[in-house]
Amino acid sequence: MAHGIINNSLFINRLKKGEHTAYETLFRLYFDRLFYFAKSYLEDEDEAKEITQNVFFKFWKSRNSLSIDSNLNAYLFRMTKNECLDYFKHQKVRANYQDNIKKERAALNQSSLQDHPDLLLIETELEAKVSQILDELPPRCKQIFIKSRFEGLKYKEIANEMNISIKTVEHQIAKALRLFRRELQEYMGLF
Amino acid sequence: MRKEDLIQFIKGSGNKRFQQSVIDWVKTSPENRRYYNRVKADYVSKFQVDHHIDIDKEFDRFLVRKQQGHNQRIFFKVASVIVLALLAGGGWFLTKADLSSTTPLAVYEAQPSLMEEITLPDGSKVSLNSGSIIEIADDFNKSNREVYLEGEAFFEVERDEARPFVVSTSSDLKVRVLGTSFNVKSYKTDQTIETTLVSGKVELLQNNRKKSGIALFPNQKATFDKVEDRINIEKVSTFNITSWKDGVLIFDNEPIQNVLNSLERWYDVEIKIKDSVISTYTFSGKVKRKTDIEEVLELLEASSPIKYHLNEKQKTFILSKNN
Repeated sequence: MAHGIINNSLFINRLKKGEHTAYETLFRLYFDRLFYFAKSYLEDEDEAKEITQNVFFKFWKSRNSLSIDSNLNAYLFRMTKNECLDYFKHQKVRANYQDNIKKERAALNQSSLQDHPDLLLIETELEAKVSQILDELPPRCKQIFIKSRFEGLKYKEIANEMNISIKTVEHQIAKALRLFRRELQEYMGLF
Repeated sequence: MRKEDLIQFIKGSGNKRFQQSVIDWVKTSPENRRYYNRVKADYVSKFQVDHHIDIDKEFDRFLVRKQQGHNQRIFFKVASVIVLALLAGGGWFLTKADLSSTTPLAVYEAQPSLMEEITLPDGSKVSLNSGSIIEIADDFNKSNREVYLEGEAFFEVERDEARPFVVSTSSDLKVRVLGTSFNVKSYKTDQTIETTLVSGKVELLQNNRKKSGIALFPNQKATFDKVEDRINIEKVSTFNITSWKDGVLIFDNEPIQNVLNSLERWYDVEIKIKDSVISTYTFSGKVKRKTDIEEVLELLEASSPIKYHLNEKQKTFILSKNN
């Protein structure tokens, strides 16, 4: 389960230290989905993109106060929700809705976003989707990717632990990243 | 209202009249609103992504912002230092921050058997060889341009006379440059630190010496011996020394131990010499990164009285004398 993989003290420690590959991994797993969530309520792609960027930036900025037993999924999700609510609260934004229907839709979305039990459903599903992305990787590829990107093990350590060659580790990591980069859209299409 | 209609509305389909009718229905009662909220959450939770986001581009934007945001914070840090100094009343000194004692802003790492190409916040380009790390501190590109290197890197530095670019190493040797391209090889396990200049001008500084640095000119390599605390300068083919960044290792009469060290990092393997006489051998040749390690060792066998075998258990290659 992603819960154990993502909310892993080793991974959180790497995020606290600001390690590049840890942020890259978090970004690749979450950016798309948090953006989708924000877009669904803001109904504006550019604003949703900015809000998702804000979430990652604020996450990075407050990395020192991240607790080792944090629930990263909940943390990121709630940050995104709060950013969206802040956006709605902004009076200037309201004035920009010239169209009455748009204004009414915004008011509806703002109110929906405050419905806690329903949002918990999205939060839970978000975690399931991210978990699914990892689970769609071939088993060995997934195992190696987790050891490298989440637990921060060196290629050599993984090779020794799994009794495989370093070349194999290297290939599997490259494969996972390739699947993440190029086939993410296809994965998404399967749901 | 039918669930299908609500979903149509959520998707933004339908004309204004239809949309208005849904809005009116939702507003009629708290039950309707709750039902609408549930349908909306249900729909969103399916994460039916219908957009295409360029994640690489977004990640780059994040990295840039991270860099800028950091600079803003540094301003406050510097300001508070000055205030404290004023409160203290006396003259104040700012000793140059030791990189190891400040929080690094970023750590770039090339895992064993991999290479990384990075662009530093000042625009300088760095190729990072296998098993190497570069750290830059909080104040990089603000008051200074100092990086800490462990391993081997090829630098192409943007010229900025006001802020010289400084490479510090695990030893007390530093390389200071204005704008130039050069290679620094400084692995902790090596006895020497080698600096090779391709173009421009660099200066070698030693922390423990007051006297001004030693200047290096293009096509020269400075070898600093950490044990003997001595610097030797010689003329070299820079092409051979920097070829690793293009995926080729070139050895020209190189002591075998140096060759093996390079191979170990490139392939992330261990190679041990069993018969000490082998340590006296030198090797000349070209190794491409995509060539398999066993093929490379076969090349060694063919060119000198060496044979190798793989100790499967320890994942170590053992070189012994071939009688």
